[in-house]
Amino acid sequence: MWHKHTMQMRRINEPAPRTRPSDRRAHTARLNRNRVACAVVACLLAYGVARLLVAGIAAGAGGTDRVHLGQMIALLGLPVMVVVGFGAWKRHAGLLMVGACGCLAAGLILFAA
Amino acid sequence: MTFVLLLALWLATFMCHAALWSARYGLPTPGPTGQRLARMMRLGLPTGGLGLAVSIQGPVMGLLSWFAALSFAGLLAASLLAVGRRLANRP
Amino acid sequence: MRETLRTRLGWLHGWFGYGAGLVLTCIFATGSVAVFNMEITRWMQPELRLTAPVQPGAPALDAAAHLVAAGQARGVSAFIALPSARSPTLDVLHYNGHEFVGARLDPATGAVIPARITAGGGLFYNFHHTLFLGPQVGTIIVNIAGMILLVAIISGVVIHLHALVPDIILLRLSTARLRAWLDAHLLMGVLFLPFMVMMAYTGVLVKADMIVPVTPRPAARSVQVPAPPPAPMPEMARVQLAPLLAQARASLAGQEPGFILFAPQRVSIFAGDASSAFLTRDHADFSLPEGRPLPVDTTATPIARTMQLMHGLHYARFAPPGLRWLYFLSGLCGTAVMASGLVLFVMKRRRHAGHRWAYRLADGLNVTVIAGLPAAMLAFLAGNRLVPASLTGREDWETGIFFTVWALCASHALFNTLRGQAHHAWRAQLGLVGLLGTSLPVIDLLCCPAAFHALPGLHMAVDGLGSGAAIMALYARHRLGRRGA
Repeated sequence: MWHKHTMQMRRINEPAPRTRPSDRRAHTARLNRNRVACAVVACLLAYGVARLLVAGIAAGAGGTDRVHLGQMIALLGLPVMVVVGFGAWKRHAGLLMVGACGCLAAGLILFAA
Repeated sequence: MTFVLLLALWLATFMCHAALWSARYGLPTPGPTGQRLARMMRLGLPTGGLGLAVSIQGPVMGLLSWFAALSFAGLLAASLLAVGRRLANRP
Repeated sequence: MRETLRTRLGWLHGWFGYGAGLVLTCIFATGSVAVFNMEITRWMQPELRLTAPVQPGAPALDAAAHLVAAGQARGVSAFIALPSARSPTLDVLHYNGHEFVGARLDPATGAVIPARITAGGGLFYNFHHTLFLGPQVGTIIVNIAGMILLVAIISGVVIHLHALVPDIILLRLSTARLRAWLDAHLLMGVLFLPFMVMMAYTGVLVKADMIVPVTPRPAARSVQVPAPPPAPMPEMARVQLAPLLAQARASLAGQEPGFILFAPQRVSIFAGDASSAFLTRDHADFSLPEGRPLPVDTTATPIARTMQLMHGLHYARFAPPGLRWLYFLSGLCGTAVMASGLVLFVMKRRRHAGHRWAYRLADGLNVTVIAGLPAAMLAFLAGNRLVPASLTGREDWETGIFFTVWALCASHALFNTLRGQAHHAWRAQLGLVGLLGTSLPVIDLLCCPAAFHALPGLHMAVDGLGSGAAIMALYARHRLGRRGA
């Protein structure tokens, strides 16, 4: 608590690093480009994993019930995966996590086969 | 009728919540006994309300009513506090 | 600028929220109104003055069966909707590509009631789930928007997590305008979070097969192939429906029959959607033409029951009037969350990007959605009273009025905002909503006094909602005039 408070105070009291406006603009543009690319990749990856989840859970016996269960889980997980994939950006940890979920889902399909 | 009761219970709960966060809501700070009472009411009233709603209206309707009461009582409480603050700040 | 989880999710919440919010505001607004779709249809057919539902008699059921058979002979696949508390007539309906339309019969005599043809509340219902873009494209867009809503909700919760509980009822009206708007957005967003999550999740789950199908979707060309016309069923007209209905009522334990559907070899009597929160669609089947009961398995697994509950919660057809009002009001508050989000998105960027055409375009789209859509909805209701009752294709006229008024509002908003006069666009369109809303009860009373007298509750509710919208719009216009753009 003390540490957090001190850090916040330091953040407020420290002078902002001096950057030229053109540098700042370039930095913002780069940041936005990165964010857009990451959002697109996170959405596509999460959607692919959701499809794999449905296919994985529905694979094997069980009929419509398994399909419905797969859809319920996939549609619950899809927005969470998008947020995690986009939000945890350091060393692409979020995308790797979503990818790992995809591997698990693919494993389910292989297991059922 | 059940909904009105739930609404009243949630309204009381939100008022207790505001009393516990008195600095944020510009209210006088309650004493230790008042705080303990407010904390107990904040926990107990919605739980009792949920039990009441489910037993009277069944699980689906009861839950829907309980959540709806939460939303509308919250709006009501926020409006009452905002209007009260505005009146208090008026010169 | 340091990149943190909050800044990153704030960007996602803002841009995803704004992009989908324009569509979602329309979906939520029309969805909220569609909770009363059957009541609005009754309001829009003032010739129907039945107050309470009565059990359909044998002559009425036979007349309905004859109408279905006649439709079948013309290649129109119709079904019978039995009287209910929300719609006391016996209806013979078919799907016209956008909504269910057809003849309305008196359940006591079987006589066709000469009610005006109308797009009715079905327009809002159809717009809510397809945006009037057809069952394929429209539904997919709506589902994607629903999914983005869930993404925006989760990211919004993460951003606001530290103050979610302490600030749950915090509203500071007397602070800076941006702060007050943000407080309103957060207040309603947090309080109506359970409702919005429920509606978004159950909504995407209803059409889950279109978003996450288990098998590859069929190619678009094969989807376009029209279904073969229904085969004529001469036995249909000979079947006695009344005894079958009595048998069905006994076999659908505790559930009231709602629909009668016909197939070449059988007639199926389905439980009404109002029977329970679980949209079971349980049915009793009988052979045609002899009317012998056919075996039907109505047991459902826990997962199937869960799916039925999800459907039931979204459609809310089981809801009694009180809960229906709560759905409606919660839906309006959800709409307000999205609308305030749209306004906030634009307000936040005003200082840095106010001169850019993209900013002005966004402002114009906000006016179109927040003020133009209610204006179009009210014009649609007023149009129902003003378009002659006997005009052929009048439902298309009504639909045309809705979209024309909205398109005019969009043109007006974009014309003004692109010239940097957003204030003018807001004021004019809020004024239009006020005008249309206040004139709705007057038009209703002048055009259909007998209907008002027969069903005063229904007419006062619809007219009152129009007036309520007008009061809110005029108040907003007044505030806008006082505080400036």
